[in-house]
Amino acid sequence: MATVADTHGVEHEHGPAKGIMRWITTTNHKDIGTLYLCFAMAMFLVGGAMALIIRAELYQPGLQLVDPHFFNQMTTLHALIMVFGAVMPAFAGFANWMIPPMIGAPDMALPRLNNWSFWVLPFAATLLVITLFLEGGAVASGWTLYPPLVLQMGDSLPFTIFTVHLLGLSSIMASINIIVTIFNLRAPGMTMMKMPMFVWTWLITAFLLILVMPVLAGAVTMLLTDKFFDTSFFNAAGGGDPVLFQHLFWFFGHPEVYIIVLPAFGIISHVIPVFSRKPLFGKNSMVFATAVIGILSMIVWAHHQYTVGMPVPAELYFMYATMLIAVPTGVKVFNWLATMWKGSLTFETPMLHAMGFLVLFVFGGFTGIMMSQAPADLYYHDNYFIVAHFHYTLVGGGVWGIFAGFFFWLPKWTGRMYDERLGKLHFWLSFLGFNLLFMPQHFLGLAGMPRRIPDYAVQFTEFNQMSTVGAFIFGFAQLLLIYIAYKAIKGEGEKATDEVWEGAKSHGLEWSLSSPMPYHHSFEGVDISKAIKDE
Amino acid sequence: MILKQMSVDADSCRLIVRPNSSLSCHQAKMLVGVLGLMMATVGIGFAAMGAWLILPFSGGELLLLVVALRYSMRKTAAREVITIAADTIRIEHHSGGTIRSVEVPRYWARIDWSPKGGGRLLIGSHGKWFEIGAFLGEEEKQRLAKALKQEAGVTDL
Repeated sequence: MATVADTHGVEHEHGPAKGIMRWITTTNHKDIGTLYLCFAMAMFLVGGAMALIIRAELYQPGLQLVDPHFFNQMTTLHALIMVFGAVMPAFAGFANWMIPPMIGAPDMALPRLNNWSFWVLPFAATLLVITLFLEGGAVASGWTLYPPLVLQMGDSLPFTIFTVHLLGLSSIMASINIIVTIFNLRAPGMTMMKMPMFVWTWLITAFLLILVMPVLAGAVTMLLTDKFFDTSFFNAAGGGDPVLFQHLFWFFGHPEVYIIVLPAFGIISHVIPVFSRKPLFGKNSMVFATAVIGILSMIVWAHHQYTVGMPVPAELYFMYATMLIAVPTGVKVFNWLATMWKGSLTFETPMLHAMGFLVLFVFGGFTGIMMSQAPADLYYHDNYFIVAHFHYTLVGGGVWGIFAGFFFWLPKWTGRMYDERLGKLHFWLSFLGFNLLFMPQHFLGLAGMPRRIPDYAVQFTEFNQMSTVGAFIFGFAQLLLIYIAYKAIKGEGEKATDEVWEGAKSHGLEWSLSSPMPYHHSFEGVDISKAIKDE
Repeated sequence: MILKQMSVDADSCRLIVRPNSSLSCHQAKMLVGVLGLMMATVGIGFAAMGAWLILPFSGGELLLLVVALRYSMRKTAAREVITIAADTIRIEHHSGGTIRSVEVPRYWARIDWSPKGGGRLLIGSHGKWFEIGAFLGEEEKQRLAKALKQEAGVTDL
């Protein structure tokens, strides 16, 4: 063991570095959380602009604005960008900001890895977007990248696959960091069952991510070798099986839904108790329900493939297993409602979004149960009913969770209250716009309008027009969100108290910290072991 | 975490300061084992169906997890040993197989809290200051400062 005399005095005091280098070199979890959230917002705008192109084209039958090939590129990139570039990074941002203070850790366990896992993202996202300008345009096969269709794409395919690898790598690094942080850096007294729900849901999400990401990585690599190295993993002519890709993709893709939604569950489990002025009802059952949802999510993937052709026993298994997910999800919804029961409810913006989440996610869940029925799914498959369903779950669940968490914790991050009046306006515009956008799509689907088409029969016009108007309301409402955040960051709002929300201190360690949280040392003046409460 | 050790003849005292580590070596092995088993089940299952290219990715990911756990656990295995002898206060910082040490004359030593916020606890004399207990929470830093005052007679600046 080497021994050296330390001749250095204490290093100079340093707050955040100045200028752009602060953000490029930062290893501070709060800075990296901010970077993730800003990146996610930028990607929401890019992916959202693509959605508006899609909806503008569908405003009336016939081809108006874009050609069918470009339309398909838009549907593909919109999905990839929203899933990998917007929603997942947004939750990684929340994890970075909130997990260390929630468990009493000084920072994430691997700060440099944290920096890398963020900085991979802008490069990957840029690469994905510039495939639009390559020969043949971007990949236009849908985000599922099914062969053999995807193998017919132009120069963009290898770039898209590389992008998927980079985005996956970022997720893996973030997940490993979160797992190590939660397991190794919990404060004394912070036992597993005392961990806040947001930490629990992220832990299970991180487990899901590291279990399914290698499957996606392997699957897209096999696409690459089929295309460029003459392998036949998915080429029936060479003895391969294109349906194998679908199994691989959905083995990743279905848990991905829960990767998006579970952290939102965690956020909602924090928001509802604070605005109900009651502890979360049935905390332990919430933890177990989350774990069961995580496990079940990995064994139901083939309900996305009912129409591909499966043996009846397999269809029955996947149907029953899928229906089973309603049970733990029902436990969670019941517990949220029971938390509100006889509570002193107030409806500030985060609570409004939590209510929005409950309504929209439960609605999406119900249509999910409809589609879990294998015989019925033969009709629902690949029409607008499924488009409406997954937007109700992923946007109504995931994005509304992000909205709720953003307004809930923004005062804690910035030290300033956001503009409550504008916050509520943003909620109502978003909620009404969203329902106007996606509710008619259920009826379009039931009436037989297929998805992923730029043109349609004239009888679908009115519902499509409603949907397009809703899309523009929902889309432009998000500019208001940016303005609200800008105002709070600029320090225009009222100074936030440490507790921020009435009685919040009794709901978690993070509310014991100053607002804004100290840049370096989170737990100034707080005895963590005394602050951790049994729930 | 702060441990206090007195020497047999009671003319010196050692304060051992360690960062919090909530994961034991055994638990880390269990974690890697369980995750490895789950990843192997998925990877081998799909490899049996012909999709063997998943396995290298699973293996790489498991390796990254092991490296990350080892790194974090080594970091949290660091410790500071503050030895209070008759004339000196010796601070040894043990980390990753190396020891960095400084000595401060006991009767000139002062403790201070960093003036620019952040709750950093400093010890020093003659214009040279060293941070101690950087990996402690605020409450434990207060306890460390109190212990130094009691055992070494160090005063606030």
